[in-house]
Amino acid sequence: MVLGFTAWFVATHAHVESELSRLLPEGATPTERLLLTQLRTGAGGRLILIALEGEDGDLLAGASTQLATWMRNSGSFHYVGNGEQAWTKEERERLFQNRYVLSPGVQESTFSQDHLRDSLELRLSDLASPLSPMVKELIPSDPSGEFMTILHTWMTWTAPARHRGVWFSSDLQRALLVAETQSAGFDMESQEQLQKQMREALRAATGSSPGAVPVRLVMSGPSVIAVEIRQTIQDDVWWLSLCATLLVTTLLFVSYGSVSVLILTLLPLTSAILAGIVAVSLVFGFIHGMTLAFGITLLGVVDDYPIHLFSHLTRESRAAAVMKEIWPTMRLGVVATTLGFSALLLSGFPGLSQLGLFAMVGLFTAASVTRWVLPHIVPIEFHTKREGLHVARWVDALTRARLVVPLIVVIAIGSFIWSDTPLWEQDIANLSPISPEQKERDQVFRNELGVPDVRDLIVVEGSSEEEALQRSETLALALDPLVRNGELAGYELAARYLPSRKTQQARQAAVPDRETLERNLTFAMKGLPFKPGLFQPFLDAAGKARTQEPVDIQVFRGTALGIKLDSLLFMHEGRWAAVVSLRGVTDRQKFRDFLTPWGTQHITYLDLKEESNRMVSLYRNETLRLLGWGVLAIGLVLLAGLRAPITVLRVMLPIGSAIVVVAALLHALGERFSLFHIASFLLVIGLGLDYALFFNRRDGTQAERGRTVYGLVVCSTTTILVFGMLALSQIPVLRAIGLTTALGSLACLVFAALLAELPEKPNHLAAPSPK
Amino acid sequence: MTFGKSNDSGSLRLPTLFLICFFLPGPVAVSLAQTPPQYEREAGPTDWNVDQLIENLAKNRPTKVWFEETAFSNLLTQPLKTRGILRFTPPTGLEKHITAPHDERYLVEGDTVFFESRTKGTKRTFSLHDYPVLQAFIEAFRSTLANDIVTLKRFYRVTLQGEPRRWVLILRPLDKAVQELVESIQFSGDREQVSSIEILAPDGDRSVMVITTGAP
Repeated sequence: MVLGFTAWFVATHAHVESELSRLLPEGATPTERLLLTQLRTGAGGRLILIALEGEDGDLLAGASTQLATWMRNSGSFHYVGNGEQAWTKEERERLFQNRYVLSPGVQESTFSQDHLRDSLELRLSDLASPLSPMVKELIPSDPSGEFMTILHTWMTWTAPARHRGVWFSSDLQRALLVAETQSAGFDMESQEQLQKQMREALRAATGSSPGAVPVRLVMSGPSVIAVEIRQTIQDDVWWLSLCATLLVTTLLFVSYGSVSVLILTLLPLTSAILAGIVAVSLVFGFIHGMTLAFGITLLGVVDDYPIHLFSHLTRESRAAAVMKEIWPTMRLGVVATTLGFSALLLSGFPGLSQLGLFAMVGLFTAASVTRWVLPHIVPIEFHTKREGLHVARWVDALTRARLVVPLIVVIAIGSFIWSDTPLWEQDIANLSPISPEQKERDQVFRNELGVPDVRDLIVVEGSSEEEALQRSETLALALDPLVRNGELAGYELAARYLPSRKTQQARQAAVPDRETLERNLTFAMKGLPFKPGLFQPFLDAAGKARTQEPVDIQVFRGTALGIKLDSLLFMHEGRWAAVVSLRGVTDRQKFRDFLTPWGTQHITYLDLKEESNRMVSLYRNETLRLLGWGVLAIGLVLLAGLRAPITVLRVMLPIGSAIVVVAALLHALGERFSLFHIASFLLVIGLGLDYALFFNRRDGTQAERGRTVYGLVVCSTTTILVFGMLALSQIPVLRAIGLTTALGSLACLVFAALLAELPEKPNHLAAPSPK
Repeated sequence: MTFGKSNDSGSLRLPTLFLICFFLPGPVAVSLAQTPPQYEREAGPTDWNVDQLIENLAKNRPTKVWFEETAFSNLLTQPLKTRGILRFTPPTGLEKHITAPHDERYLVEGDTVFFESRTKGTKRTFSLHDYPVLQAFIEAFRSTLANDIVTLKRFYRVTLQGEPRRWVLILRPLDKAVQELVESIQFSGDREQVSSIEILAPDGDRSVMVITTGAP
């Protein structure tokens, strides 16, 4: 009943969140917070790179136009670029009217006699060119070519090749598009939905021509890769779980020979998962998909509880009585493990806190179900057919080789000391499940579209929009020489499109009064075949420019450029930040040194890759620290429960040894440790506690001990099977968890057996007597 | 969008005859102004027609010719003169290389135009699709000289005047946007040689390109 109600609650109320950024903490420094804001909502994460292939160029160009039109009309994109005209007529008009404040070409000398003369000569060559019909109408009002200068400056990237008006790869095999979605890049649900809709739209648009090769839509970009990875993980987890379930079911059936017991084994785990979801949903308002996945992993230990119970059931005993007998040991294990996981609850990392709560509630629920529910519903006639005596004897024999343990530990520690392999994974990119093909495809698309992966940023801060813009302009002047000598490929900043008021006013001041301008123009025209009075529109426009109001961000509202500006210039925690994104930094250390004299007050250089690596290292260290506290808490609980320091040591020692040895083994295999290994070690501690406590449970007969050991072997084998399957995964994170836990479970069992209290001689001798 | 535009026109319309005679050192071309419209032919299946003419032109097309172009603009009081070389690499390649008074190169291959101005020190690549006028302009040359009547008729209404010895091929753009910038392109020639190409804009601007097969 309760289970049914909980299931109903989960089905109707639990909100499974998939946006990864919600697991990240708020960040401690303004820079960290800014970085996280960028990660969460930044334009980079919302970028989709698109290629259409598989048809001849003309058809692909048509498909590109149709797809782009659909995307623009869908309202799901901030911006869609496929090479079709970037500016509407109205936008061009707006730019043209403001040409004298927006053009970097306007300088002190622009309207001097000599300079005007040069400009006019260039315009003459324009008129003699084949392009003359298109440019001639601009000449009377813009003889110095400021409008063209603006368009030229703003085209900071080399646009892709074109065919029939749309972007193509240089070999003209693929039509290229680039889009920025409205929804955040980490919002997997809507990103996946959007990608599906795009495919459908393209199919609807191009499907009409029968017999034609279908146009293939290939996409890349962070959100596309994320969706693909999620699919890979789901597929991987699906077949791994299937195999694991089959193996475990077979094992349990062989061990207990009863289908109903098999089903009952799942009861505590199911209740634990449901209770965990409910608790996390109630406390946090949502549960993250990752919490669920990792939480269920951590709860793997609760599968041991019913196995202990069933292993101890004999023909003579009643389930409730058996439960009462093993309960103290189990309880101690549950309390200690729970306390160990509680350390996660205290971390500042919402993802880990959710995980901690999930695991704690789950553990308690599973233990309670095993203690108070299972004994009453287990089939009355059920009992273990296998006494496990031979297993017990064999295991007990292991204690004679207990010296092996310190030996292995010493070797393990030694291998750490003399190893050259770095201990920690410093580059989170290596944990990423992105396949080399995906990486290469992304790189090819980025190169052809000219949208590099932004790694280096400079954040320029100011108390006002104007101050931030001015400071970034000063910085740009210092960056230009670096671009010239090749230390920097290029940079992008808001001030390129929206100059500060100060700069705009300086340009206005560079426009001479009408009388001077007219005189200069007359001089410049001398000997050139321009008609007298032709440049009247220019004189009028220049006069207007001298007194016009400087342009502000409002001018760009509702245009593609306005959206770009929003990501380059924004308010953050009451201060204005102008972001300068850099391309092709050749030497980061040198660049950092170059920026040092600028002080850290208003200008921060961020290497996003390094910064995110540093942040992940911080969380890893935080988790490691919490793990330490968890171990201490477990020790204290054990001390309170067992009351004998020597027994506590006997329980803790195998776990400690197992962790050291497994860590050394993984290290020797070339694994570098990450957050995920640490989380797995936490599970290993939970499992190890369970094994060690039961091994050191010396109450009862030899037969009883046989059943205990038999149960432990079954427990451990299930764990090794499940996580061993996970270790086969191609996804680095899953492999890390699988490998660590499977090896950890095995090591804990073996070491717990090796280090268990020596069987007392009389008992040992008495054991065979009943036969 | 209203850009400033000079209203003054007409005064630049020099008689075509003057122009041709003045700039033509090679074979004598017959300009439109001089040719009386003896008979006019739409492209059709007669013994001598557009199809046949451009077939002949393609057969006898030199790979390289020299040109002298005179542009009359109503922004100017005098025509602008340029000289240079035209090269053909069939079926889709075409190059216009202005050598004087400044150095500028337009290299067309398929849909792509590579533009280089040594004088201004700029290089650019763009798609013909973005410049319908330029595309119309280039197709006029390319299709006419590559015997591609189909493409030619996609862009132009084609009329042929004169006789095989002296003829004028008149191309009028079909596209509205192109019509705003180009009224007609007229190829004049004798037998299978093109001697001049004249481009007329609706505002009266005009450019006349005189073609010779030998260096001027």
